[in-house]
Amino acid sequence: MRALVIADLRNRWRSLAALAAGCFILLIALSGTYSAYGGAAGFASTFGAGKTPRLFSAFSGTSSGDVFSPPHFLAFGFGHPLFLVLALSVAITSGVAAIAAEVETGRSELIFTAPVRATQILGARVVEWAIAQIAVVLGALAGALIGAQLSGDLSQVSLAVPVRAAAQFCTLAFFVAGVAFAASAHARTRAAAFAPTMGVTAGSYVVNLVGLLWSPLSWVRWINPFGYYSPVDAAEHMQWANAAVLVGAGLVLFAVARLTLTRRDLA
Amino acid sequence: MPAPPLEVRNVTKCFGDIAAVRELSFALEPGTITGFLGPNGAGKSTTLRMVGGLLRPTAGEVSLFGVAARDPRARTTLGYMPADPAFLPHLTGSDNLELLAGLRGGADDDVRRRAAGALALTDTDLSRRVGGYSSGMRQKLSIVAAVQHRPTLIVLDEPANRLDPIAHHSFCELMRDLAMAGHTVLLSSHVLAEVEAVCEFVLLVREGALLKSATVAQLRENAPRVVTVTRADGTTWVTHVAAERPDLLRGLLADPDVVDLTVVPASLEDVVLSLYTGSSTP
Repeated sequence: MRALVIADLRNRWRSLAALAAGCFILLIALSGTYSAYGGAAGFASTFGAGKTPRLFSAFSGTSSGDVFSPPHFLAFGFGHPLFLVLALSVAITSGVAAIAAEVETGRSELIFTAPVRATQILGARVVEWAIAQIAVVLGALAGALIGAQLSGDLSQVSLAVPVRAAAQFCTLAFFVAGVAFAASAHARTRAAAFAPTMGVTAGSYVVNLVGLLWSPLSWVRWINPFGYYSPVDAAEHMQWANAAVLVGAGLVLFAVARLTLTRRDLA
Repeated sequence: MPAPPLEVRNVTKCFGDIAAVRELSFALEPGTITGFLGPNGAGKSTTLRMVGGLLRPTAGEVSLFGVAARDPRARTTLGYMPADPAFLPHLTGSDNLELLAGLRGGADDDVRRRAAGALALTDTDLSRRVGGYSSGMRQKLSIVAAVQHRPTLIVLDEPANRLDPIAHHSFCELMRDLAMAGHTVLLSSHVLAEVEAVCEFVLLVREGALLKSATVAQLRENAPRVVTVTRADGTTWVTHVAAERPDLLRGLLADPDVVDLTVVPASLEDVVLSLYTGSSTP
């Protein structure tokens, strides 16, 4: 199985390197933006001390808290829409490629005729995703840490802040990967796996945003995965309950993927 | 009595309302090469995919040496070549072979070298990325991949596709060598000359059901002979004479108007064509 993991990673290393580099640059650029704006003082003079426009808060994934304080801003990088697109694309593409792409291309006929259980192949693909996801998150974390050191206000923030935000992000990525793997285990084509995964991910993001912007619909946050992910809140302390919900739901989705795979045709 | 290398028992496979395979039954003798013939859509690839454990039969059972094909243990004895092999394009031929052998418990270097050599796949070819291979080279690589781990049962879906005549000849030799060494081979093909050249047995399917199962020799023996008759006035005509009607040939020989008579045994192609088109009964 190790050979399969290595072959898959070799196949994707350029795109993974690009995604990791993208996250790295984005997080450095956000720190640079903070400094260029004048840091906490600059934001306070623009919006008023401790007053964050609701749209900014919503985009950072929280309904409370001052996202312009140094620790919150540093953590906000892990909730930035562009970061989410870059980093979650690893979970989505890995999951979609795991089974559906093999069936679509016909490669399943070479791989799944080997004397190994289909679920072992699925396990190898999950390991491959985990390695790829960690590599991209580490790229982002490195960007946040270096960017913080280069910025006056952010350099005072504890290193634990971006680490907690990155760890919290991993729970969201685990959930999204679960959706992608479950869809892939059911689908015969990449498109058929990609569509529901993107639908769930993008749809949930929009629903969560609406819930954050409009109080009467604030309850919708708790019926979608992004409601359980707030890197700004994680800047204070790890959100264990939220992490448990996402990991629990992700485990259920991986179990569904496993069960679906054992019951389906692979050609 | 040991279980046959491959046994297909009353197998039906439906895709929705369509039955691709219908109550198909056959078993292979160890150390034989069997051709699996039928027109497009006859259910050959579907059957082979069930043998490879890729598809689950709707009814019936497929077993390899007595173990259900869906059980991974059954596939330790299996070498499988799909009709359209899809390798990892960014890996070299060697790396692809290593990867696939790794999933099957490792390759026998000697078998791999012999198979690659027979199909004229050089070390230079194998060190190139598969993405740059021609379709014929991919086909050769997939044949090597199917036999490199010394499987007891080798299943090949249209192996002759895209092979040049020299490679095709070498492929036939390789299959004969493997059968001599005790391997059992099942190959589906549209190239009847290939089947005639290497196969001892044939299974003919139509619309998912078994039409006929026999040795190639039996099929040809029982098929009508192709008779070319030339008359004194110069006219020539071709006819078919059933094997069990030698009296008709004697009648033609006794005819004073007949100046020349050529009798040719039916080829497998004649037999198969007559079976599928129903032009005459072999």
